[in-house]
Amino acid sequence: MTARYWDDYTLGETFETEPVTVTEESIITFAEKYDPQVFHTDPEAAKDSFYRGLIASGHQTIGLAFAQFVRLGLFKENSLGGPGMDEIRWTAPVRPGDTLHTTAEVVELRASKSRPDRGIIRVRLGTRVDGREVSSLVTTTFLRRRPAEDAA
Amino acid sequence: MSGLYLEDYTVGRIIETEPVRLDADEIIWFAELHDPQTFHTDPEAAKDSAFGEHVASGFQTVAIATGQFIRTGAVDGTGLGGPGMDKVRWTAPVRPGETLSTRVEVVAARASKSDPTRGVVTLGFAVETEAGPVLTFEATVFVRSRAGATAA
Repeated sequence: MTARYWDDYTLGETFETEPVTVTEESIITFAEKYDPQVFHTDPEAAKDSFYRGLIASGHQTIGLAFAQFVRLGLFKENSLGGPGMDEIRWTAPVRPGDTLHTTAEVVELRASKSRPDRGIIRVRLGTRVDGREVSSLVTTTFLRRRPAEDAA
Repeated sequence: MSGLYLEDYTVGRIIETEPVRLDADEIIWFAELHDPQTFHTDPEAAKDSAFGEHVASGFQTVAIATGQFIRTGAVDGTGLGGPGMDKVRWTAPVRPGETLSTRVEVVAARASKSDPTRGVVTLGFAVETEAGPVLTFEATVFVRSRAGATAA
Protein backbone atom coordinates (compact mmCIF):
# COMPACT_ATOMS: atom_id res chain seq x y z
CA MET A 1 0.00 0.00 0.00
CA THR A 2 1.28 3.48 -0.83
CA ALA A 3 1.84 5.84 2.07
CA ARG A 4 -1.01 8.30 2.35
CA TYR A 5 -1.03 11.94 3.28
CA TRP A 6 -3.26 13.26 6.06
CA ASP A 7 -5.60 14.68 3.42
CA ASP A 8 -6.25 11.17 2.03
CA TYR A 9 -8.13 9.83 5.06
CA THR A 10 -11.83 10.07 5.82
CA LEU A 11 -13.48 9.93 9.22
CA GLY A 12 -14.86 6.47 9.98
CA GLU A 13 -12.68 4.75 7.38
CA THR A 14 -11.54 1.28 8.49
CA PHE A 15 -8.57 -0.96 7.63
CA GLU A 16 -8.25 -4.68 8.36
CA THR A 17 -4.79 -5.92 9.31
CA GLU A 18 -3.21 -9.35 8.80
CA PRO A 19 -4.03 -11.78 11.62
CA VAL A 20 -1.16 -12.75 13.93
CA THR A 21 -0.98 -15.77 16.24
CA VAL A 22 0.52 -15.48 19.72
CA THR A 23 2.82 -18.30 20.83
CA GLU A 24 3.61 -19.40 24.38
CA GLU A 25 7.31 -18.77 23.73
CA SER A 26 6.69 -15.18 22.59
CA ILE A 27 4.46 -14.52 25.62
CA ILE A 28 7.18 -15.65 28.03
CA THR A 29 10.02 -13.87 26.18
CA PHE A 30 8.13 -10.57 26.17
CA ALA A 31 6.97 -10.84 29.78
CA GLU A 32 10.40 -11.70 31.19
CA LYS A 33 11.61 -8.37 29.80
CA TYR A 34 8.65 -6.08 30.30
CA ASP A 35 5.93 -7.59 32.50
CA PRO A 36 7.39 -10.26 34.80
CA GLN A 37 4.27 -11.49 36.58
CA VAL A 38 3.82 -15.27 36.99
CA PHE A 39 0.63 -15.41 34.93
CA HIS A 40 2.72 -14.07 31.99
CA THR A 41 6.04 -15.90 32.57
CA ASP A 42 5.38 -19.32 34.12
CA PRO A 43 2.82 -21.69 32.50
CA GLU A 44 2.75 -23.98 35.57
CA ALA A 45 2.44 -21.31 38.26
CA ALA A 46 -0.07 -19.48 36.05
CA LYS A 47 -2.50 -22.38 36.54
CA ASP A 48 -2.83 -21.42 40.21
CA SER A 49 -3.22 -17.72 39.42
CA PHE A 50 -6.34 -15.67 39.10
CA TYR A 51 -6.24 -16.26 35.32
CA ARG A 52 -6.04 -20.11 35.52
CA GLY A 53 -3.32 -20.35 32.89
CA LEU A 54 -0.73 -18.38 30.97
CA ILE A 55 -1.92 -15.13 29.39
CA ALA A 56 -0.09 -12.55 27.27
CA SER A 57 1.00 -9.22 28.73
CA GLY A 58 -1.42 -6.54 27.62
CA HIS A 59 1.61 -4.55 26.45
CA GLN A 60 2.50 -7.37 24.06
CA THR A 61 -1.05 -7.52 22.71
CA ILE A 62 -1.21 -3.82 21.92
CA GLY A 63 2.31 -3.90 20.48
CA LEU A 64 1.40 -6.77 18.13
CA ALA A 65 -1.77 -4.94 17.10
CA PHE A 66 0.15 -1.76 16.38
CA ALA A 67 2.81 -3.66 14.40
CA GLN A 68 0.12 -5.13 12.14
CA PHE A 69 -1.24 -1.64 11.59
CA VAL A 70 2.23 -0.29 10.75
CA ARG A 71 2.74 -3.17 8.28
CA LEU A 72 -0.22 -1.94 6.23
CA GLY A 73 2.23 0.74 5.07
CA LEU A 74 -0.25 3.60 5.39
CA PHE A 75 1.99 5.95 7.35
CA LYS A 76 5.61 5.19 6.37
CA GLU A 77 7.64 8.36 5.65
CA ASN A 78 4.56 10.53 6.17
CA SER A 79 4.54 9.80 9.90
CA LEU A 80 6.06 12.58 11.96
CA GLY A 81 5.73 10.59 15.16
CA GLY A 82 3.04 10.38 17.76
CA PRO A 83 2.48 12.46 20.89
CA GLY A 84 0.45 9.80 22.67
CA MET A 85 -2.32 7.27 23.00
CA ASP A 86 -5.45 7.06 25.10
CA GLU A 87 -8.13 4.70 26.32
CA ILE A 88 -6.04 1.53 26.31
CA ARG A 89 -8.38 -1.26 27.43
CA TRP A 90 -7.70 -4.94 28.04
CA THR A 91 -11.11 -6.53 28.12
CA ALA A 92 -10.32 -10.26 27.88
CA PRO A 93 -7.20 -12.41 28.33
CA VAL A 94 -5.09 -13.51 25.34
CA ARG A 95 -3.77 -17.07 25.61
CA PRO A 96 -1.12 -19.08 23.72
CA GLY A 97 -2.37 -20.03 20.26
CA ASP A 98 -4.90 -17.20 20.06
CA THR A 99 -5.00 -15.34 16.74
CA LEU A 100 -5.36 -11.57 16.91
CA HIS A 101 -7.48 -9.76 14.32
CA THR A 102 -7.07 -6.00 14.48
CA THR A 103 -9.27 -3.40 12.82
CA ALA A 104 -8.08 0.20 12.55
CA GLU A 105 -10.68 2.97 12.40
CA VAL A 106 -10.06 6.66 11.78
CA VAL A 107 -11.85 8.36 14.69
CA GLU A 108 -10.54 11.93 14.41
CA LEU A 109 -8.88 14.15 11.79
CA ARG A 110 -7.71 17.63 12.65
CA ALA A 111 -5.49 20.04 10.74
CA SER A 112 -2.63 21.49 12.76
CA LYS A 113 -3.20 25.15 13.59
CA SER A 114 0.45 25.92 14.17
CA ARG A 115 2.05 23.71 11.47
CA PRO A 116 0.36 23.88 8.06
CA ASP A 117 2.51 21.01 6.72
CA ARG A 118 0.83 18.44 8.97
CA GLY A 119 -2.42 17.13 10.37
CA ILE A 120 -3.39 15.06 13.38
CA ILE A 121 -4.97 11.65 12.91
CA ARG A 122 -6.43 9.54 15.70
CA VAL A 123 -6.84 5.84 14.96
CA ARG A 124 -8.68 3.33 17.13
CA LEU A 125 -7.19 -0.17 17.05
CA GLY A 126 -9.66 -2.83 18.13
CA THR A 127 -8.25 -6.35 18.48
CA ARG A 128 -10.40 -9.48 18.51
CA VAL A 129 -9.90 -13.19 19.21
CA ASP A 130 -12.64 -15.44 17.81
CA GLY A 131 -14.81 -12.38 17.25
CA ARG A 132 -14.53 -11.10 20.82
CA GLU A 133 -12.69 -7.86 21.49
CA VAL A 134 -9.66 -8.37 23.76
CA SER A 135 -8.02 -4.95 23.57
CA SER A 136 -8.45 -1.48 22.15
CA LEU A 137 -6.65 1.83 22.14
CA VAL A 138 -6.65 5.18 20.35
CA THR A 139 -3.33 6.40 18.94
CA THR A 140 -2.56 9.98 17.93
CA THR A 141 -0.11 10.60 15.07
CA PHE A 142 1.19 13.66 13.23
CA LEU A 143 1.00 13.08 9.47
CA ARG A 144 2.35 15.10 6.58
CA ARG A 145 -0.22 16.95 4.47
CA ARG A 146 -0.19 16.64 0.70
CA PRO A 147 2.26 19.26 -0.60
CA ALA A 148 0.48 22.21 -2.27
CA GLU A 149 2.00 21.51 -5.73
CA ASP A 150 0.38 18.03 -5.64
CA ALA A 151 -3.05 19.37 -4.80
CA ALA A 152 -4.24 19.27 -8.41
CA MET B 1 9.23 -4.72 48.64
CA SER B 2 6.57 -7.32 49.38
CA GLY B 3 3.22 -7.16 47.62
CA LEU B 4 1.08 -4.17 48.55
CA TYR B 5 -2.60 -4.54 49.39
CA LEU B 6 -5.26 -1.98 48.54
CA GLU B 7 -4.91 -0.44 51.99
CA ASP B 8 -1.19 0.20 51.33
CA TYR B 9 -1.87 2.22 48.18
CA THR B 10 -2.43 5.57 49.85
CA VAL B 11 -3.01 8.46 47.49
CA GLY B 12 0.23 10.37 46.96
CA ARG B 13 2.49 7.43 47.89
CA ILE B 14 5.56 7.33 45.66
CA ILE B 15 7.14 4.09 44.48
CA GLU B 16 10.65 4.46 43.07
CA THR B 17 11.96 1.91 40.57
CA GLU B 18 15.41 0.83 39.41
CA PRO B 19 16.76 2.83 36.46
CA VAL B 20 17.39 0.80 33.31
CA ARG B 21 19.64 1.51 30.33
CA LEU B 22 18.22 1.00 26.86
CA ASP B 23 20.61 0.01 24.06
CA ALA B 24 20.19 0.01 20.28
CA ASP B 25 19.82 -3.78 19.97
CA GLU B 26 16.94 -3.80 22.43
CA ILE B 27 15.25 -0.91 20.58
CA ILE B 28 15.51 -2.82 17.29
CA TRP B 29 14.36 -6.16 18.78
CA PHE B 30 11.25 -4.57 20.21
CA ALA B 31 10.42 -2.50 17.16
CA GLU B 32 10.72 -5.32 14.64
CA LEU B 33 7.99 -7.19 16.54
CA HIS B 34 5.81 -4.35 17.81
CA ASP B 35 6.47 -1.07 16.00
CA PRO B 36 8.29 -1.64 12.69
CA GLN B 37 8.82 1.97 11.61
CA THR B 38 12.26 2.76 10.19
CA PHE B 39 13.13 5.37 12.83
CA HIS B 40 12.87 2.50 15.37
CA THR B 41 14.24 -0.45 13.35
CA ASP B 42 17.04 0.99 11.22
CA PRO B 43 19.64 3.29 12.84
CA GLU B 44 20.98 4.38 9.42
CA ALA B 45 17.63 5.05 7.71
CA ALA B 46 16.47 6.81 10.89
CA LYS B 47 18.87 9.66 10.05
CA ASP B 48 16.64 10.59 7.10
CA SER B 49 13.42 10.28 9.10
CA ALA B 50 11.36 12.95 10.84
CA PHE B 51 13.39 12.28 14.03
CA GLY B 52 16.77 12.57 12.31
CA GLU B 53 18.15 9.80 14.53
CA HIS B 54 17.43 6.34 15.93
CA VAL B 55 14.75 6.47 18.66
CA ALA B 56 12.89 3.91 20.77
CA SER B 57 9.27 2.95 20.18
CA GLY B 58 6.95 4.66 22.64
CA PHE B 59 5.26 1.29 23.20
CA GLN B 60 8.64 0.03 24.42
CA THR B 61 9.22 2.86 26.89
CA VAL B 62 5.73 2.31 28.35
CA ALA B 63 6.47 -1.42 28.65
CA ILE B 64 9.87 -0.79 30.27
CA ALA B 65 8.33 1.55 32.84
CA THR B 66 5.71 -1.09 33.63
CA GLY B 67 8.33 -3.83 33.94
CA GLN B 68 10.41 -1.77 36.36
CA PHE B 69 7.31 -1.16 38.49
CA ILE B 70 6.51 -4.90 38.53
CA ARG B 71 10.13 -5.60 39.60
CA THR B 72 9.71 -3.49 42.76
CA GLY B 73 7.54 -6.33 44.05
CA ALA B 74 4.61 -3.98 44.69
CA VAL B 75 2.11 -6.35 43.11
CA ASP B 76 3.76 -9.69 44.04
CA GLY B 77 0.95 -11.96 45.14
CA THR B 78 -1.48 -9.05 45.40
CA GLY B 79 -1.81 -7.91 41.77
CA LEU B 80 -4.81 -9.20 39.81
CA GLY B 81 -3.98 -7.72 36.43
CA GLY B 82 -5.11 -4.48 34.92
CA PRO B 83 -8.02 -3.26 32.82
CA GLY B 84 -6.08 -0.56 31.00
CA MET B 85 -4.05 2.61 30.70
CA ASP B 86 -4.82 6.16 29.69
CA LYS B 87 -3.26 9.54 28.88
CA VAL B 88 -0.03 8.14 27.47
CA ARG B 89 2.14 11.11 26.46
CA TRP B 90 5.51 10.80 24.76
CA THR B 91 7.04 14.20 25.39
CA ALA B 92 10.58 13.60 24.11
CA PRO B 93 12.37 10.90 22.10
CA VAL B 94 14.45 8.22 23.84
CA ARG B 95 17.76 7.41 22.17
CA PRO B 96 20.05 4.38 22.41
CA GLY B 97 22.27 4.44 25.48
CA GLU B 98 19.92 6.55 27.56
CA THR B 99 18.84 5.40 31.02
CA LEU B 100 15.15 5.42 31.91
CA SER B 101 14.14 6.29 35.48
CA THR B 102 10.52 5.65 36.41
CA ARG B 103 8.67 7.10 39.36
CA VAL B 104 5.18 5.84 40.19
CA GLU B 105 2.63 7.77 42.23
CA VAL B 106 -0.68 6.50 43.60
CA VAL B 107 -3.30 8.76 42.02
CA ALA B 108 -6.47 7.04 43.23
CA ALA B 109 -7.43 3.90 45.16
CA ARG B 110 -10.85 2.51 45.98
CA ALA B 111 -12.52 -0.73 46.99
CA SER B 112 -14.34 -2.64 44.28
CA LYS B 113 -18.09 -2.12 44.45
CA SER B 114 -18.86 -5.65 43.30
CA ASP B 115 -16.09 -7.55 45.12
CA PRO B 116 -14.90 -6.40 48.58
CA THR B 117 -11.81 -8.66 48.41
CA ARG B 118 -10.19 -6.41 45.81
CA GLY B 119 -9.64 -2.80 44.91
CA VAL B 120 -8.91 -0.61 41.92
CA VAL B 121 -5.75 1.51 41.98
CA THR B 122 -4.75 4.21 39.49
CA LEU B 123 -1.00 4.76 39.19
CA GLY B 124 0.65 7.79 37.59
CA PHE B 125 3.91 6.93 35.84
CA ALA B 126 6.56 9.56 35.10
CA VAL B 127 9.66 8.54 33.16
CA GLU B 128 12.78 10.57 32.52
CA THR B 129 16.26 10.11 31.09
CA GLU B 130 19.48 12.04 31.63
CA ALA B 131 18.06 14.50 29.08
CA GLY B 132 14.81 15.18 30.93
CA PRO B 133 11.18 13.99 31.04
CA VAL B 134 10.17 11.63 28.21
CA LEU B 135 6.89 9.95 29.14
CA THR B 136 3.86 10.07 31.43
CA PHE B 137 0.87 7.76 31.62
CA GLU B 138 -1.75 6.37 33.95
CA ALA B 139 -2.29 2.66 34.53
CA THR B 140 -5.16 1.04 36.40
CA VAL B 141 -4.50 -2.18 38.32
CA PHE B 142 -6.67 -4.55 40.34
CA VAL B 143 -5.17 -5.53 43.72
CA ARG B 144 -6.23 -7.69 46.64
CA SER B 145 -7.48 -5.92 49.75
CA ARG B 146 -6.15 -6.83 53.19
CA ALA B 147 -9.74 -7.14 54.38
CA GLY B 148 -10.37 -9.64 51.60
CA ALA B 149 -7.20 -11.59 52.40
CA THR B 150 -8.25 -11.90 56.06
CA ALA B 151 -11.74 -13.03 55.11
CA ALA B 152 -10.44 -15.73 52.75
